[in-house]
Amino acid sequence: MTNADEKFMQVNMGPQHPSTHGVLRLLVTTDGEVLSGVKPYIGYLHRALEKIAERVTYPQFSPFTDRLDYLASMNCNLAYAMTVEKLLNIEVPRRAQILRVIMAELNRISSHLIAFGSFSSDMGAFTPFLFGIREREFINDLFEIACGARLTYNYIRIGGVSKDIPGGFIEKTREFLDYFPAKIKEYNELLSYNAIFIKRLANIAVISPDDAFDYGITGPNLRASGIKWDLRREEPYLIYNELDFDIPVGKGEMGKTGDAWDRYMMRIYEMEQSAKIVRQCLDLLAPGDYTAKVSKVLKPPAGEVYVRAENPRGELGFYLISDGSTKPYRLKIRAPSFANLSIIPKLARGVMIADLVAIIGSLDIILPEIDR
Amino acid sequence: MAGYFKKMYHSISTVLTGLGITIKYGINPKTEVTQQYPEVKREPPEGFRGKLFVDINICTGCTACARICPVDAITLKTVRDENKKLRPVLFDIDNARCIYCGLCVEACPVDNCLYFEKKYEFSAYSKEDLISHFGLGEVKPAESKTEDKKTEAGKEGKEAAQ
Ligand code: SF4
Ligand code: SF4
Repeated sequence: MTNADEKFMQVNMGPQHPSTHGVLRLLVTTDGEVLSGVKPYIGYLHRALEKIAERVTYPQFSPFTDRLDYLASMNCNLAYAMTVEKLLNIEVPRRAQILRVIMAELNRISSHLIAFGSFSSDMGAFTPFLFGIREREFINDLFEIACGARLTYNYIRIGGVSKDIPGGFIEKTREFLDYFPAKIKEYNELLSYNAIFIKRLANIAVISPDDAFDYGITGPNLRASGIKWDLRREEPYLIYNELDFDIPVGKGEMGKTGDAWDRYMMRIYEMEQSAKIVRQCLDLLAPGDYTAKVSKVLKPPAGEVYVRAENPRGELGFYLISDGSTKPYRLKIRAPSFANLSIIPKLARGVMIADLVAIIGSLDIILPEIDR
Repeated sequence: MAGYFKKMYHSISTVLTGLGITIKYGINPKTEVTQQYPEVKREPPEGFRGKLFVDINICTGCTACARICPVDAITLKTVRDENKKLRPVLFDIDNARCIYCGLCVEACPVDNCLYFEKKYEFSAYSKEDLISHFGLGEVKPAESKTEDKKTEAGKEGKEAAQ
């Protein structure tokens, strides 16, 4: 594996590496302990989802969106449903909109819990991972009573949601919201403000605002660089414009703005904000229809739409072309993690090998969405 | 020099705070969350999407479920009995293919005909054992030779509707 001039060594990191968050292969060129180049190789999880979309009908594609970002299925369902609704001009009932926000935000919390947990275990602290999983189980239980599944929900459908929430859901969600803030405090004591953890992450892999724009970085990673951009505020969909929540941005509390610690901390702050949103939505919830009247066979008019939504990992976009038949003519998926991954080669130049894990973990990429 | 000790104090104190939390959970049995799975089993809630079940006696053989399935997990074959009613002679659900999306259950027009059971443990040694056979099985010799696929069954269903 040595190079001709024997100064550099090429090593494969992955595809089966515990901290690559899926099956990512990085071809790493090292100069001693220092990285001189990183080249990501993707495609190990390719399932041709965009092609599948061309051979199934519009409602049939919804379960496949679960398998994009499987840690945030609700958000993927939501973005796809909104795309088809825009094409068909469907008005979603208010109760369904509120239910969608509740589910999307709960899923954002559970996705960030995994980001928090897996990042900490990448950094060598295993306990927080178990803590994150413990709270996530609570949310999974909530989803399970709402839709019957714990991972691939297929709950948010074209026109609304698949069924109304059962009795007891609201009480259980409130119970979770009451219990959760204490846990966030615990995470902060346990990990966020741990001196070793901060030393390990502050000033590492700084993404400047310009770089963030150039590489198309979105989501918490963009906001960590100090740019206040959140689609829930910039292009409000559903009922987000009625809700009161803050958009946390990175301030370089422990080092430079946009370093790995800032990116990590963004997720902790966002979990607090999401919990706040869910609480407001529960108060807003009034009786009504959980879905609009949607015919069984959907035949949207010919045309094209692009709809984007704020996913836990950034901006998920669906570009859909319809030729007037029951199946999409073409569906292009803009996956946030793909753009976020593309900055790794730039960030990893000239850092120590051990920091590469910190870079991947702090970007919180997920491979099924990149490979599709 | 003072800064050095301050830093050291800070590092040690934050690490100890973290350890304190870990120890708190370690010695308090009330905080235990792990379930001893094979011994203690969890009862899934109402509406859990487990293994699919068909009440074949009330199934009308309309093939709506097979047509909506995004992964073609349902193989259906229908024949008309002496009363000209459509009967599903072959109704196979491939549990290895099924993605438990629930579209078929929602599409079924007959109440309590096709539904999810709460079963979630059904591993098998071979792929074939994962296919559930619900069909009535009374195939006449002439028809049993041709292996009807879902599309053909769908055509038949459409003809019946006319
Ligand atoms: S649950 Fe979904 S995948 Fe499974 S048989 Fe029904 S429609 Fe097909
Ligand atoms: S949709 Fe229901 S009634 Fe129709 S074939 Fe399937 S199980 Fe039978």
